[in-house]
Amino acid sequence: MKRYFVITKQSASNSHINEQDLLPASCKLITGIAVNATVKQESELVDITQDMIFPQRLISDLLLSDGITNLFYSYLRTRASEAESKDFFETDILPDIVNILSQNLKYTCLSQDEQASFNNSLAELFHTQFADYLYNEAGIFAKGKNISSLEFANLIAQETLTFAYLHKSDVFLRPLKAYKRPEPYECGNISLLVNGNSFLLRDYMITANRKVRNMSKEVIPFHEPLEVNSNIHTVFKSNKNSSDNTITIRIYIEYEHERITT
Amino acid sequence: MEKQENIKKLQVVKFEVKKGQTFEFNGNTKTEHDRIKGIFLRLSNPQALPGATLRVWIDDTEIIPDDTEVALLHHNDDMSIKDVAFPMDEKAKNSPVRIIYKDDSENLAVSDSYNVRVYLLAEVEKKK
Repeated sequence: MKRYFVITKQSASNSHINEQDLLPASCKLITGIAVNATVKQESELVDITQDMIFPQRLISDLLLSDGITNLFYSYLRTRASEAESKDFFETDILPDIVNILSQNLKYTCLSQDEQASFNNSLAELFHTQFADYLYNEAGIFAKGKNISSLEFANLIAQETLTFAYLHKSDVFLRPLKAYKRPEPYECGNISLLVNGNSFLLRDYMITANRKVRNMSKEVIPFHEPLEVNSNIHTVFKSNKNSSDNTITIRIYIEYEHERITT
Repeated sequence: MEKQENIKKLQVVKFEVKKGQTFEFNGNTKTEHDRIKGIFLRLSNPQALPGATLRVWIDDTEIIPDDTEVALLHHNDDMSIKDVAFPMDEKAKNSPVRIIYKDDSENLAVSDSYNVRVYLLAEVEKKK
């Protein structure tokens, strides 16, 4: 069975390290080694936005609900002129569509305030741009002349969905604050010696703050039998890139552990 | 004799860690499980990973030594559980589990506390 042993070293303000540690008595065969360095830095908080999932099914379901299909679509499409029809749409139909959407599009990831501001931006988007989109780009007035009321309601539902989708990157996002991950940088070379003169690592470049993977991917395999009561000698040469920060270097030693069976 | 495939089970240990806190968990493995074959963790806020360390004993054997970084045992979405699980082979059957988790995220994590889930991969030996 594999066992692990951790040695932690700290290098403050670019100091070098030259130290020896006793390995555990049961460590007779080193099978791998992993080295990781982290530097604790004050990281700044930055504002980011995260895209939220576009609720396509929810919107199409809402638009098929009675509240919307029973609106006066027939009255709307039989208006004499396009301007009159648009006026009627803006005063009588649009507020209902906006209400139904903003009351029912709820995101559990948003706080109350965030949800309110999401509703506001959704309502504002529809109030300012939706009528123009329907009449100028979708050509709802011309298309509505020769179809039934139900088909017309469906057409508006379809266009509402398309409109929402086209503006999804303006509305369907969530403001977040995130800590900026410290940038990785090369902080120095490490050499590890066992058995007096046998190098496990020699001038191995350490990158601080790199993204670590899981243990099995980090370990560099070795096959190094040890003498009894072995020491491990750690030599770290800083490359003076760390200014005032303290580097924490952790050395993971993987070894074969003999289970004592009684 | 044919080799018997054992039944794989999972045990989850969940606890809440506050910023800068050292949390000690003491519990037991499930009686109906025979062996613990692996361990991995997930944090509800992976931003708290840098600097966090842990130490684990199962059945009074130190499996993960003091000061081991949690990042080495953390499961990301782009990895299979088999790859990430830290292999071990210890007796389950109500044996004690002790986990000491040290947070080091004073200047990192967004929220004041987060949940840590420790997954123990267990096996039940098939009865003939």
